[in-house]
Amino acid sequence: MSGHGIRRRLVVLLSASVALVWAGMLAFTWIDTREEVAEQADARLEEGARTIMLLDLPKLAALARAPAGPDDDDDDDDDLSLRFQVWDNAGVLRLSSRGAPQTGYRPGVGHAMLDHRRYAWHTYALRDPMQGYQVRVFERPGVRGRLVNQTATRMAQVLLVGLPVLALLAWISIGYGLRPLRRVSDAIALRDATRLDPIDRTAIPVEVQPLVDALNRLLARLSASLAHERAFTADAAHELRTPLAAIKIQAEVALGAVDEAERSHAMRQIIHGVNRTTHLVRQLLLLARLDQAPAAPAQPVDLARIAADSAARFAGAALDKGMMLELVAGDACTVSAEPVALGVLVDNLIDNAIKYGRPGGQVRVVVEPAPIALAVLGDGPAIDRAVQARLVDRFYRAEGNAAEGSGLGLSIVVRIAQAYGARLQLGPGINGSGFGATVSFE
Amino acid sequence: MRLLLVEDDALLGNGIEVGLRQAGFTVDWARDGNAAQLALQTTAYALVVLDLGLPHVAGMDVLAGLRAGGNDAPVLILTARDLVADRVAGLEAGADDYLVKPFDLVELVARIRALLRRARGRSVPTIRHGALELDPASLAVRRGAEVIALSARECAILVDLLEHCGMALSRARLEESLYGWNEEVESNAIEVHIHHLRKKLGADLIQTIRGVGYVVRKEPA
Repeated sequence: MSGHGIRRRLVVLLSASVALVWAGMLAFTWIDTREEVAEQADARLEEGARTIMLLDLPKLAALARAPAGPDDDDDDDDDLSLRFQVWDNAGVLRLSSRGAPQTGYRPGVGHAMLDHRRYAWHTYALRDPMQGYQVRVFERPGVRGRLVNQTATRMAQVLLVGLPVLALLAWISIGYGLRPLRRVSDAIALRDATRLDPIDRTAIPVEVQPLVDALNRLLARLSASLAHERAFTADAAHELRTPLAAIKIQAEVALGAVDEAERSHAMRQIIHGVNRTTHLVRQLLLLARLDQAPAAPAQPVDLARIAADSAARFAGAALDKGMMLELVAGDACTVSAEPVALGVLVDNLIDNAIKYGRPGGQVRVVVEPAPIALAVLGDGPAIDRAVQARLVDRFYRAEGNAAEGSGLGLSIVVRIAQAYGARLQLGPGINGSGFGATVSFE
Repeated sequence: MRLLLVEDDALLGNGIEVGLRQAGFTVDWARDGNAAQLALQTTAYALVVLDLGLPHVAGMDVLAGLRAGGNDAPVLILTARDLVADRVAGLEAGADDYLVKPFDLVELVARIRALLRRARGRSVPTIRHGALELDPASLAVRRGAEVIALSARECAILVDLLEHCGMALSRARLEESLYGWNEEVESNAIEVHIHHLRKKLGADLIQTIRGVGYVVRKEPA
């Protein structure tokens, strides 16, 4: 689920950001603490030196001999005891406390670092102006670092415990925050294929609304296309009923016929009816295939050649109706389409022109080279504009024509034309009279 | 019995026309709403068979016009749509019955007969007159145990006369209900049919009123 993905991502990002900030804070605090500790330790050294300066030598000798503390050998706890050296003017060591390193004389005063046996000692020296003694106090090596580290470790420990707690809290609150999203996904998951009404967007957070809106738009499109499909199926079933009724009635007429002429007439009518139904079913299947499958890949096709083949197929039908079928085509005229589909397109146009043209009339098939277009023009009855607009509707058949048709021919033409970037235009036929259809390729 | 068939589909219209003729009806076939309206204005039909999906004037409009004009001939609707709403709309608009395509010819004929019967105020399929019992569906007259076969036209004339007992029907009136638009009517056709009926059923059933027409007398009460 996407909810989990977002949750995990948010928690990881949040924890990482917090950890980064905390690490920065930790580093800053560490530096700060170190300075603080150094200042304090320096001050203590100075104070220690001044205290020793106040004492006279015999007292100092007693102090130097005294054990530094109850746990003299314990490295951890004798930090606070003073370690010192007292040097005279000549650089002779007069006194050295327990625990003070055996370093040589250094004449300078003030803070200094003394390396002695691998350790770096913080020292502070003062000179007694009257007697000329130099007093040097020592601080055990590593004391400052230990103090700083202890402080830093304590802070890090708090953070280390805090981070998982924060992550857990983040996980829970993000889960809570994403609940509206879960509600949306539940609302969608609950739907079956038949429920295409829009998802309620009232209780949905603004961040998710664009998603829900997009989904609703998709649902609307789906629902429209489904409704269109259902209407088509219903229309198709109804369209089949009339020829089926005719076949059935003609069969009953044949059975009840009293003479041979009547019977054979009815039989011929049955065959005619079956042919008509077959044609309707074929057109329906063709349209269904055009609707479902993606268009067959286009290739260069000679439109003039396709038009010539198609015209040849309808020569007989034209002659039967006493019509003059004429092809006006020049050189090869290459368009990008699929040859069989293009043939179906031209067939449908010529078939219509012959079927709905006037007996003894003309049908002219024109292939225009530039811009490339195919026109099928007739000189039969003109069709007014309002009717023309409806001709491409599925199952629409113009009124008052005696010819039988499926009402699908122009729908098929439009569908094929669309698939190959062409456009169907209806208008006047030969010399501005009659009716014509033009398919223009881009 | 003259019926008007309003059907735009050539194949189906032809089948129904021939089928109804086989069943003994006289059929005029109008192929669109305009023709139907014209026919209804000029001819009195015993019944109208109406397809709802018509060019020019929709079937429902033909029906509405028919009823608005005070014509109460029974109307049987043919429809390809079997939604309840479609059928209800048809019946509400004044249709008497409907059939959904595809249908049986025999059912169509049976429903037409039933509608005609009801229109004449009868509820049984046969017409009784004295000792005679006419069954229009089987084109036969029963007199006791005897069964007399009639031709479709003889039967139609007899039904017409029996249904208008005591009223003289003119030759022109009988011709009109017997012959469709494109049928040749010989000048003495009705006389010939009456002659045959008299030979089969006895000379005194149908009487001639000179200058007026033919009549079957009412049964003595």
